[in-house]
Amino acid sequence: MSDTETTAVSRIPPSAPPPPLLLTVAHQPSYDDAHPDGGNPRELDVNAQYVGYEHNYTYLVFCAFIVWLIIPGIGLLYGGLARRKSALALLFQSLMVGAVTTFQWMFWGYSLAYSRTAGPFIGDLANFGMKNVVVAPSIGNPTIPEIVFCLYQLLFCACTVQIVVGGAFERGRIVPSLVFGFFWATVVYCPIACWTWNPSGWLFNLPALDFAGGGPVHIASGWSALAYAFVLGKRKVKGDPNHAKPHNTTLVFLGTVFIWFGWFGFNGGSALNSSLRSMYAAFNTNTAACTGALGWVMVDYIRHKGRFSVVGACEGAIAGLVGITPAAGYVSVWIAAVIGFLTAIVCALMNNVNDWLHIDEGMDVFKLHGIGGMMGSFLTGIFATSAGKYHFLPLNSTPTTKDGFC
Amino acid sequence: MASGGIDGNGRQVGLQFAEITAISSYAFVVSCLLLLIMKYIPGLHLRVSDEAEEKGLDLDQFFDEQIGDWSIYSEIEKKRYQDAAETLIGAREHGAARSSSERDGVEETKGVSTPVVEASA
Repeated sequence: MSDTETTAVSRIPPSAPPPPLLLTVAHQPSYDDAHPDGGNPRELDVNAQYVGYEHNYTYLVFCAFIVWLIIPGIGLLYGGLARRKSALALLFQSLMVGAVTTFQWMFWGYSLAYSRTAGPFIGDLANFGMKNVVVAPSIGNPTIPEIVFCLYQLLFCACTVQIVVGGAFERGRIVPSLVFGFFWATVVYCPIACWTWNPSGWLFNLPALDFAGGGPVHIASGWSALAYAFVLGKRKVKGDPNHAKPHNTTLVFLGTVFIWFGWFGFNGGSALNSSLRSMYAAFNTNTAACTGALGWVMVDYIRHKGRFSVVGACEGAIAGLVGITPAAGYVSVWIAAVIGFLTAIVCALMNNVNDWLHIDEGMDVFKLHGIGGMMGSFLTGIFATSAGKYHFLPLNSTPTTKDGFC
Repeated sequence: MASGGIDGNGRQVGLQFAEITAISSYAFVVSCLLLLIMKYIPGLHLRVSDEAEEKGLDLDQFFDEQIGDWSIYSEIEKKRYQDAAETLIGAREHGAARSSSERDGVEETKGVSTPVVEASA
């Protein structure tokens, strides 16, 4: 029996239309205009529409929980990289940014990025104030209720804003950074998320491939953190011997551990289902982080004549993770290894990018997320595959917006 | 379907470049505009003062918190006040020969402060 199935899958030529869905359940949930909120739970069992598909949203909500760890993880990482006297601010910002972004997302952020009636550039206010965001099948995957989809995407937005406020380290006041976070999410993150992932978005229909956020999360946050550091101006250097030295490498390590762990949910959930494709993306995530750490440490080892750096290993892992983000569900495991390795090497060779640009952006946000994100998106264009042995469609159980269809 | 250059779809590389260029330029330009608007809103103060920056964001932005033991800070402060006091006294006593007495004052402070810390501990 299993032999027959394997043969059937491998016989599909690369150019063939997508194979029929492997899992067919009579009541596949679908969005109904008459019940934009998914129905009144007093009149009908709103859970019933998801029977047979509960594994998808159970998995996705778990991924959302672990993505949350990235937010304090970035706070710890930045706090460790900053000097002692200004490190607490970055920890504090990680919690407050999460809080402000949650409000922004509930207020209008979700609607501006993911409303069903969105235009190619930005959504409308159809879901203003979480209107109708309850248990209806979501726009990303009809087997995921909208409330789970909304939470998952909220945490993406919060992570991104937290990456951006790193540009203000050691000199930015906290209140304006939170005000900036609210408006940045509104005018930068939400439109770009709409372009990339909303089925009406212009990049989605181009199609530009972005599995888990190389564009909206990394390229956008890297450039915006550079803008923040640029507008604020350089720090005042007064011959301080600990200037631009991390005050606590243990915090850097701890933050990286949280970020790496959270990234399993970030990439592993971005297929928006619990199909084997998600599992494959999670495997790729770990692979790229590892080869990224190897690549960066190798550059350090050669540059510093046989010595290491913990911060370098951590930044290498993050560079690898950033590189694989847009590609995680589109490439095979060895290609993921190459992407992580190449991205980390390029980022490590950009060591002096802040000096070249004359911008004091010492948290390496632009280097890791900007340059790493651009590198990842470019490599995705080269290596994304839907042909041959690693034909990903049979790994999917239900079609989602991350399939790369248009 | 997600096909890149490796599948013979070289056009995808160009499309990715379009994505990279569009997102990079939009994010940088709009962030700069937003921050420049915020910079010139009176009372918002994007950046802390130079004194606050030197003292550290944490002592400026939080009312009673910092990372690490408070004694790190109190010892630095104590030394700074002692140095200032010594310099002042030295300047009054020696008049124009201020720089040499300043150096003496610092050495003296080091000698004095060590037993004080030990006594308090």
